[in-house]
Amino acid sequence: MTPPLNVLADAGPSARRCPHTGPYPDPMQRCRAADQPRPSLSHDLTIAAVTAAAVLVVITFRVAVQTAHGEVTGLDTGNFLTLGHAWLGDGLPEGAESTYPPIVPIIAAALGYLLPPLPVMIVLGVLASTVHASAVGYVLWRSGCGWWTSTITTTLIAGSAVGEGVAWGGAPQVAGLGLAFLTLYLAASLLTDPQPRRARALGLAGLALGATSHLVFAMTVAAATVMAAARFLSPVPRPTRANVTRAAAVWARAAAPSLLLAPLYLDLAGTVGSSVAERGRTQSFAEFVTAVEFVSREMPLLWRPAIVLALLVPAVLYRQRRHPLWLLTTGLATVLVGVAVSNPEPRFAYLVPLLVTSALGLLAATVRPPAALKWRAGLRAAAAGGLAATVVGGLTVFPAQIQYYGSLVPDGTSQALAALRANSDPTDVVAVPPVRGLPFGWWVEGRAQRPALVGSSEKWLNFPRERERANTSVRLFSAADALSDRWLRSVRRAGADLVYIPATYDGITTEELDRFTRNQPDLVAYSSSAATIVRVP
Amino acid sequence: MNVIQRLFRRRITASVTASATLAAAAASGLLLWPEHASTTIPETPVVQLVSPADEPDGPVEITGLDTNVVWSDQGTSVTMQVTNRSDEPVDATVWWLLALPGEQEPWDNPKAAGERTDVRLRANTTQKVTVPVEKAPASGSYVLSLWAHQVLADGGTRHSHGVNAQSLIHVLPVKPDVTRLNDPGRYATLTVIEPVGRLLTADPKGTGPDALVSVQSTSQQPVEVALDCYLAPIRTGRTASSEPWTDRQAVASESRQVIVSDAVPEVLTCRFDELPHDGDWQLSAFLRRAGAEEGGTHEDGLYSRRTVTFQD
Repeated sequence: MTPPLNVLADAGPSARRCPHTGPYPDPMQRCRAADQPRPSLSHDLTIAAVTAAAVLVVITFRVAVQTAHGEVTGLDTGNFLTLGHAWLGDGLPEGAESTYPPIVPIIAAALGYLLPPLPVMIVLGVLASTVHASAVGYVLWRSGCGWWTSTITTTLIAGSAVGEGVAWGGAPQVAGLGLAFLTLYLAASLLTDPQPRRARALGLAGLALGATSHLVFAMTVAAATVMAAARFLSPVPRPTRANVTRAAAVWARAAAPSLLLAPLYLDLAGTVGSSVAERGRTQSFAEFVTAVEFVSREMPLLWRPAIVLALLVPAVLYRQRRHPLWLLTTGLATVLVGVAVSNPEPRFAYLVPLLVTSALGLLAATVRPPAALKWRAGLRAAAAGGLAATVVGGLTVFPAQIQYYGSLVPDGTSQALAALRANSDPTDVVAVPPVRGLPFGWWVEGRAQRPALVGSSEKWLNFPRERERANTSVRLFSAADALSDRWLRSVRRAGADLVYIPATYDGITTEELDRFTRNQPDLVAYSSSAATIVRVP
Repeated sequence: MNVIQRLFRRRITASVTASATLAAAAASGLLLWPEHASTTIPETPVVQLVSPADEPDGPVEITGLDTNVVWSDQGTSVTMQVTNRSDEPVDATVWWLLALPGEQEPWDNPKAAGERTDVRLRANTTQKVTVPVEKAPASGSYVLSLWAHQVLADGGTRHSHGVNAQSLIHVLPVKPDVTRLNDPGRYATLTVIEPVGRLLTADPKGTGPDALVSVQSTSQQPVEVALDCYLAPIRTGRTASSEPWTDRQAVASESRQVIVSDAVPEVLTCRFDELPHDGDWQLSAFLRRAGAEEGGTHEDGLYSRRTVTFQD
C-alpha cells in the first residue's frame, strides 16, 4: 500500500478535528466537526447558483454602462487586436515590436474579425470577469466558506479593482488575477499534500495563467515561492529520501505544462523584465501606497480595515497553517510587504484585493463563532451590510471609471478607424500623437490595421523599437507649427503617409484644425467630431 | 509558540485583532493615507555603486546603496548596505562624501559629508545603515563616495573600503534665486536655473556642468524641447539683455534636445565651450519647440539672479 505523500504534511490539530481525512488532513475537503452533517449537493448547487446570479447582475450592470457609453474606453484593447493579428499569422505592423502572452490577444483578434470594437471590448470584459469570479468562487467554495463564497466573490467582483480593469481594457490582468488565486490555492494544496491529481490541475492552471498575463504570472511565482518557504519552515517531520523524490516528481509534473511558455518568457525576461527592473530602481514607497489607495478606492472605509485585518490574519490564525488559504494569505501578505519595503513596484498593489479575499475566506472557513454569542446575528448583519455597501459603492464608481477612460477615446472613433482603413493602403504609415501621454495609436494599428508611428510617453512601452517610433511621433507633434507646410514635410521625412489626429489630442486646437480644413481641403481624408485624418503630400 | 497559541485561543485575541484593525483603519482613514507632497526638487537619476568596485582592504565592505534620494542644498540621509566578510563580529564606522568631479582624494576637500555612524556587524552579515548629513552641499554637481572604516580595540580606525557611486549627484537649491519675465510655457516650463562648477570657481579647467536646470512638462503629454543656456553681460548701471541671443557679447551653451513628460521635473545641465574673461554676467535658460522660426519657437525662459563674476 502506498503511504501518503506526507513530505510536508504533519498530523496536527486540524487532523484531529477532521476524522474523515485520516491522520493527514485533506485540505481540499472541508473540515467539519464530526457531528456536522455533510452539506448536500443541492446546498452546494444553491450556493453556486446564487453566486453566479449575483456576479451576473454585476457584469450585466457593467455591460449596460459600457453600451450606454457607446464607444470603446482605454487603449489596451487596440494593442491586443494588433498582437492577436500577429499571433494569428498577420505579423506585427512595420516598425512595431512587442511580445505578449497569447490568449487574450487571440480572442480579441478573433472577435475583431466578427464584431465592431466596442462589442469586442465588452465581450473581453465579460470573459475576464467571469474567469475571475469563477476562479475565486471555486477556491472559496472548496475551502468550505459556504454562503460566504457568494458574499465575498460578489464583493470582490463589484467592489475591487476589477471594474477599473474592465474600464481600461485590462482583460489579461482581470482574468489573470483570478487564475492567480486559483493557481496559488492549488499550489498551496499541493504543498500541503502532494497528490498527482492536484499536480495536473496546478499545471493546467499555471499554463492558463502564464498564457494570459506575464505580469500576474510573475507575481504569482513570487507568492508561490513565499508559500513554499513558509511551508518548509513550518515544524514538520523530517521527510524521507523516498518521499522527497516522489514529491519532486509531482512538482515536476505540475511545472511541466508551463515549460511550453519558456520561449515566450525568455523573450519577455529580456525586454519587459529588464524594463521593469530599470523602473524598479526609481520607484518610491509613496507610489506603492498611492497604488494601494487606487485599488481600494471603491469603498475605502471598508477596504482599509480589511487590508489591515488581512495582514494580521496569518499571525492570528497561525494554528490553521496547514490550511491552503493560510498559506495563500501568508504568501500574498509577505510578497506585498516585501515589495512595499524593498522594491515598491506599484502594480503589485493589484494583489491587495486577492489578499483580502484569501484572508476573509480563511476566516469564513475556519472561525466558528460560539453558538452562544449574543451578538452573532448582529455581527453577521453588520458584515453583510458592510459587504453590500462595498458592492453598491463599487458599482456606482464604474460609470465614472468608464467616463475617465472614455475621455481618451472620443465618440465616433470606431467609425473614424473604419474610414482610415477604407481610405488608405495596408502599407500606409500613420502618424498618431499621444493622448495624455498614452499610446492612442494602438487603436490605429489594431483596428484600422495600419502601421503607425504610435506616439507615447516612454513609460508605457517596454521595447526599444516601439520607444524609438514613439519618440519620432513625439518629436513631430512637439512642433509649434503643426499642420504647416514645413511640418508636413517633416512628417513625410519621418516616413508617414497619413496623420490621424484624435479629437482628444490637445496639442492642436480646434481653430487650427478648422483653418487647415478650410485652407487645405484636398489634404483632409476624413473629418468628424472624433478625428481628423490628413494626407501627407 | 505555545504561549502565543494559548493566547490566540482566548477571546481576547478576537478583541485585540478587532481593535488593532479598527485603530489602524481609523488612522489610515483619518489621515487619508500618507500625503506625498510633490517637490520641485527632482530626484537624482538612478545612482548605484560603480562596478566593479575596488577590493576592500579590510573585513567591512560596502555592497549597496539606496537609490531613491532627493538631493538638495539642505542635505539628505544616505542609506548604504554594509557587509562584514569575516567570521568575527566587527565594529565599523561609515560615512559618505560629496566631492567635485575629477577629485582624486575626496576626503581632502569634501563639499558635503555624512556624519560618521558607528555600526556593529555580526560575522558574515549584511546590514543597512542610514547616514545623516553633517555638512550640507551647496548647489552643484558632485561625485558621491561611500566609506567604511574598521574600529580597532584601542578606539582608532583603519580603512576597510571606499567606493564611488555613479552617475553624478546634482544638488539643486530648495529656494532657487530666479526670475521669470513672461508666463510659464504652455507645454514645458523651467523651474530652476542655477550656476555651478566653473561659473562659481571661475576655474576654466574645471570639469562638470556649468549650470543646472530643472525642466518639466506641464501635463502628462510628452514634448520635445531644445534647451539653451546663455551668459549675458551685465553692463554698468543696467541689467543684462532679456534676449541674450540678440546680444553679440553673450555666450551660448551647446543646444540640447530633450523629451520631457509626465509633469515630472528633470535635471538637465549646460556647459559652455568658452567662458568670458571678466565682468559680471547673468545666466539664463530657454526652452524652444521646433517651429517655422529659425531656431524654433520660444516656449519658456528663466533667469538666475545670482550674478556670475569673472576676473582676469
